[in-house]
Amino acid sequence: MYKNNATSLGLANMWVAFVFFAVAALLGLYQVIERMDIIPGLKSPELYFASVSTHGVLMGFVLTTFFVMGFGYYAATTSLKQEIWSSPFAWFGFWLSLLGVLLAAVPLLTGNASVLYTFYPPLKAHPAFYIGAALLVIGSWVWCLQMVMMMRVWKKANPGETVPLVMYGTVANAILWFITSLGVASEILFQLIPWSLGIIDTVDVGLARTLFSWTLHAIVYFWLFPAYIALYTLVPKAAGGYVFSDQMGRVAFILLLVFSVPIGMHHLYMDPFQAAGWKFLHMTGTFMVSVPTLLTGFTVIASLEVAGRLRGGKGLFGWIGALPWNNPIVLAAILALLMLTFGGFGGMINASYSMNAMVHNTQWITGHFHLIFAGTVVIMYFGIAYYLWPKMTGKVLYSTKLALTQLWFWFIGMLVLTLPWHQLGLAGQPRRISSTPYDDLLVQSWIPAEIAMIAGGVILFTAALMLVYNLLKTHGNAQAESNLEVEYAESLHSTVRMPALLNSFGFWVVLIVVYMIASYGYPILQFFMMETFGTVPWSI
Amino acid sequence: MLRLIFVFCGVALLVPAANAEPSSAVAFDLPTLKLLKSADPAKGEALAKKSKCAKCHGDDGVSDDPDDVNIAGMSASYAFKQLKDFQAKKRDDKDMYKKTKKLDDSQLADLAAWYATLEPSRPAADRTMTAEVRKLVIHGDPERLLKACSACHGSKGRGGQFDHPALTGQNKTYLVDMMTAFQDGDRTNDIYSRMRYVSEVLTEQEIEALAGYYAADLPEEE
Repeated sequence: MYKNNATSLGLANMWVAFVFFAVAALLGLYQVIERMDIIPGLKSPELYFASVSTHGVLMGFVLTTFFVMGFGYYAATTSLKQEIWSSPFAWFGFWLSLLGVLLAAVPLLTGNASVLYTFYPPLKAHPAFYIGAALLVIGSWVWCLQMVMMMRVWKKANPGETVPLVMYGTVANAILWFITSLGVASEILFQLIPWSLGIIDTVDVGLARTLFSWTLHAIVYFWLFPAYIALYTLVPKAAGGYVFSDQMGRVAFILLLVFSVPIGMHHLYMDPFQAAGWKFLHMTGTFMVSVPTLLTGFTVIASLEVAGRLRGGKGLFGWIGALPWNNPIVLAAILALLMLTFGGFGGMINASYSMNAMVHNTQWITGHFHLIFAGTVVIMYFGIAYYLWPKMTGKVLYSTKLALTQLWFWFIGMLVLTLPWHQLGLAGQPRRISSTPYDDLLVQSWIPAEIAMIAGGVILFTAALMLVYNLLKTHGNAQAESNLEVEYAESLHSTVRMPALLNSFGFWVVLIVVYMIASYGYPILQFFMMETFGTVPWSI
Repeated sequence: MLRLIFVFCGVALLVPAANAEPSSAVAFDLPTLKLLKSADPAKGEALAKKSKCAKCHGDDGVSDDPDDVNIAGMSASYAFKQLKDFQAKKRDDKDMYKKTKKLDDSQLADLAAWYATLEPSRPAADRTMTAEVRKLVIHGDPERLLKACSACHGSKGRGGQFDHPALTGQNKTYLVDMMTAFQDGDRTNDIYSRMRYVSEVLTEQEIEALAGYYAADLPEEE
């Protein structure tokens, strides 16, 4: 087994991710109960919005960023058989990010950053929230640099060799994150921090929302990438097969990288300050993102079919039953693909400029992103954790049975929570509300779906505790794990030499820059060129 | 109606294909990989003696008979897969079936682990690469959708990923026999017809030339 200097760094990152995840899950449970108005003592819009903001920050920014970094460091060292480029610098990035989280936590928990975990003015948070968020982003850039440099060093030492698929995907994600986080970083540094500190009196809301949209969609792919990487490189091997096509994985990663950043304006369909043409352009790009997802769906299912048939599965669907459902990462992958299928259809509706109008700002949207993110993405984080924990800690997984039960709980809980949300959205329930004290008849028709929502929340919270308990017990397990090697899937069809375009990123980065200029250049510049007027005071 | 008939015919054609037996039933999942890692070469050596493997494969895994395969230095994962395939009759060989049918997975893994520890055969003749062989080994033939041999078997023929065998130093007659068997459909335990497709596309002369190339040893400077 290759011993590397990423084990403790990877574990530290992942522990931070999962501890904050458990806190966020508790807040989620509170929110579903509060929202239905069944316990009068719990009613508090202030507390609700502080909770929603903290839940969103912890789940969307903390769980994800730390998990991505931890997985990235460990995957890079184990696949390249190479040390971290600069271990002290990597630790610096970790501590900086953690400092950012702790700094942002103070205003969040004291109700001074109840801005719904977004960066949309005119909602204004305490400066510590924005400074903390900026530190988290800057800390994550350290990780981006480490990943790029590690691949560079490896390529120099192995000229002509193919970068392992797991590393290729990880570097694609690092580049994606760096480029996409520039939008929100600019907004925070040049608009929100000066504004919240009182250095400037006003803020250009249109510019801020446009800059946030730059980040807002691709960030989802930053979260999603580890799930896809595991689906291509860990799951096929764990199932006993091969990755059906290594090249297809690379093409999917590149398409995600190129198409996910310049399409964020689909979050602004209902905003007035961008013209319809730009929104149409971004909508077209948004639909293009479905291509790498479909490629992934096909390749991963084909890989699983190969494994299922090698395990003796016969007939049209017999291979599905032959898969090792008792292996947590394989089960997580199957359940993730199922949720991706449901969520993907919903996503097509959100992406459509015209259909979006029906569901915009309704509970449908909350249902959609919970199904895709908390469903597909997070369940794969669980699967990866169950796979890597024994290798990183050197201890046998405390309970495989508990892990499998937890995954089923998470899957069922997520469906029970999110499918009714889709229905509520179509029935007209708005999102981002703390209670529904209006239109009795309409609100009464929502009750069955809201009861399901609470049931889903309870199941999910239970599952969250099961995960953390299992990981904690594994860490303290006395029984040593015998197989510490991370087994990455080999390709069904080997290649002598990978085409340079599928083994490097230079060309693709240039392409993204050109695409970004084309899709965001004028929409941003217009705010600096057009004549604007201040609000008219009441006294005139 | 015509559409219905087309759909029916399509389904009728697809169902037997989907029901077809897989060409091999060895899944290198985590328990199998664990089994191979924990295999005991010493037990494998004892079992090889008891099973009289040397009769065909030589005392040190290098056969005197050019029709038989040299198994010294063969990767444990590849050897294990072949033994499992013989046992499951996925690879047709009566002698090997008899030898393996009563062995359990752990014994097969021990045997594979033992032969993996032995030094591969080093024939005296040095390898020469004709233009024809060079093309096939290094570049393949895109016009025939034929990928390079080195893509799977490594640039020096020492084997590729866990289920791709080393070819260097193998008996030439054996290599010709196997490629011909893949070509004729007599050997079918290559998953997704990877080797069957290659062999079907190769001509008799090319098979001969490639077998000669891989049977010879690598010159020291290579």
